[in-house]
Amino acid sequence: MNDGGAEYAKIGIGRSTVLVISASGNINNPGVYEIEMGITVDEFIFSDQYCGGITNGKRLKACVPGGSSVPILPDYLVCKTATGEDRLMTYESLSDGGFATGSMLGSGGFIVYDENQCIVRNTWNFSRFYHHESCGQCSPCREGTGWMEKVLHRLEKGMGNMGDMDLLVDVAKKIEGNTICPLGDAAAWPIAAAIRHFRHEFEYHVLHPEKVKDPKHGYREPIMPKAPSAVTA
Amino acid sequence: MDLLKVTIDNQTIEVPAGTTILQAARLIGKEVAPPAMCFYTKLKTSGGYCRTCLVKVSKGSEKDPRPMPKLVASCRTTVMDGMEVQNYTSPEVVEARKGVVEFLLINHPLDCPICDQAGECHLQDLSYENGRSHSRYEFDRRTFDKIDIGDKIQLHMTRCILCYRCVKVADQLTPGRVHGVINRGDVAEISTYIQNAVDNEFSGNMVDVCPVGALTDKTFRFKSRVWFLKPFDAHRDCDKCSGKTVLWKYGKEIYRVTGRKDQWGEVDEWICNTCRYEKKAPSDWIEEGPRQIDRHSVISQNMYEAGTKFVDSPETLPKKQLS
Ligand code: SF4
Ligand code: SF4
Ligand code: FES
Repeated sequence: MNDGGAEYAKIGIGRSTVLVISASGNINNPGVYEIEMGITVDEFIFSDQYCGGITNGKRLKACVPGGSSVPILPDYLVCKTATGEDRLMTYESLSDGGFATGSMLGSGGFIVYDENQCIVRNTWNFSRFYHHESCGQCSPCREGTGWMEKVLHRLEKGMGNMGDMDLLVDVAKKIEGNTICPLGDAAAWPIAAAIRHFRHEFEYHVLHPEKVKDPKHGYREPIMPKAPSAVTA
Repeated sequence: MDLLKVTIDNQTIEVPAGTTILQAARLIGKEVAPPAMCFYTKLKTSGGYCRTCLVKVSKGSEKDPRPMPKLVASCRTTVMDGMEVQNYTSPEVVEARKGVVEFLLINHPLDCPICDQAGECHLQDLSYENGRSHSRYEFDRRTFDKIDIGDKIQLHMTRCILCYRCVKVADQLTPGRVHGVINRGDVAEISTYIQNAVDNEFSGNMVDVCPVGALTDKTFRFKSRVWFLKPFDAHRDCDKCSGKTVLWKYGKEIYRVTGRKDQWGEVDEWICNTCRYEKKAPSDWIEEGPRQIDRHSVISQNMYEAGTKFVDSPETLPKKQLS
């Protein structure tokens, strides 16, 4: 910055220059990093200079690259885009593929999940946050965030049913874009994305209520994302 | 002043600058006017909360024809020259509105059989005309205790849809603000400052602006169903307000007094509490004759079909809209 605008613009790629990323989750070096945008996501997660890889050498399961409101990505879409290119730490690359196979760099709140983490529980946790944060002025967000939280809570506790996923997607769709402020969108996106990429894990919660009663069930029986061909985008 | 041209559901009208899409649609007529639960013409800064009036702007203006990226609240969006708007003609709008109605209802008690508002309730009309026929909500509904705000008004918060209209009345019509919204999200509630009574000459108007049965007239509580009563325009010499009211009568007896509402359910002139609560003898009033009710609720007796738009089936849409 001290070197002036022209120097600053040389850093990074296009619109993406430098950004402060707050990395958290199951990584060896959680913390705040100032990165030059354009490095690969792979480098950011696995190099010792940044996150230092997944703790205990576990497998990467998923990543929320830009704060809790952006779509979550399953392992196979974190480091590569749907077209097989390296995913870079830039606004453009992280949103490659739109919401179907991409995400957003958003606020730079970078969360990494290892193989033992439960996406249903995580999604419920996010929805609790947005339910609590809703200011309550406009109806879709005020009522919708609470509704989605309740449905996710029962799914998480193994009391959901197979229709709940479609219900959540529909409720999320009816909130998204129809609220006064973007909090409604922020509440809707992560839920829609989690179901888009991890529907089988939600179904697991419906089908195995006794197993998911234990919130740490993922440690005994990791549920990994399904291969791309099995995913209906 | 220059007039701006706007087309709503294929009907074009010219309106002065500053007119909102909702107002323009109302000028065209009720077959294109979106429902509005929170906007109230007479209350400044009202609107924008409920999202029932969402419409699609398919062409921004003559100068910048790009469509707007999201549905917009028609009560808060002003018309641009050459704008094209879709309301009932857009499946996207109809679907989004169904969602809004569902959201408004999931925490609503639907205790219409014991609710004084039934029959003149905007939420009943809204859900009948724009909602789905069943609920997908399977959890406990939010409830609150009833409280009295002053000796004339009861707040049944459980029924409130948080339209903020009463807050604006309290703010704009009455001196000293003792009434507002506390908490946030889906536990937000209408309340008064430390259970204070809302006590001033125009507080009764909060009952008139409330679209649902959350604020009701205690002097009328459980006295009758509104559709058994006959409304009459009447006036009296009042030193506080215009004195122009509607008397709701059963035989000779006056059951309640309200402001005069137009076809959009908005009062023409605010009335004072003396007229509303204390003048219930026929000799207090000069009657002008029976009031024509334009609304399509059951209060207009057997008129329900007349103005109803069944959003599901295009065949039943008013002809004008389809042409
Ligand atoms: S406010 Fe309207 S919908 Fe609610 S209980 Fe009363 S009449 Fe029924
Ligand atoms: S009490 Fe009535 S007027 Fe006040 S916010 Fe609730 S629904 Fe609206
Ligand atoms: S009437 Fe427009 S948002 Fe409520």
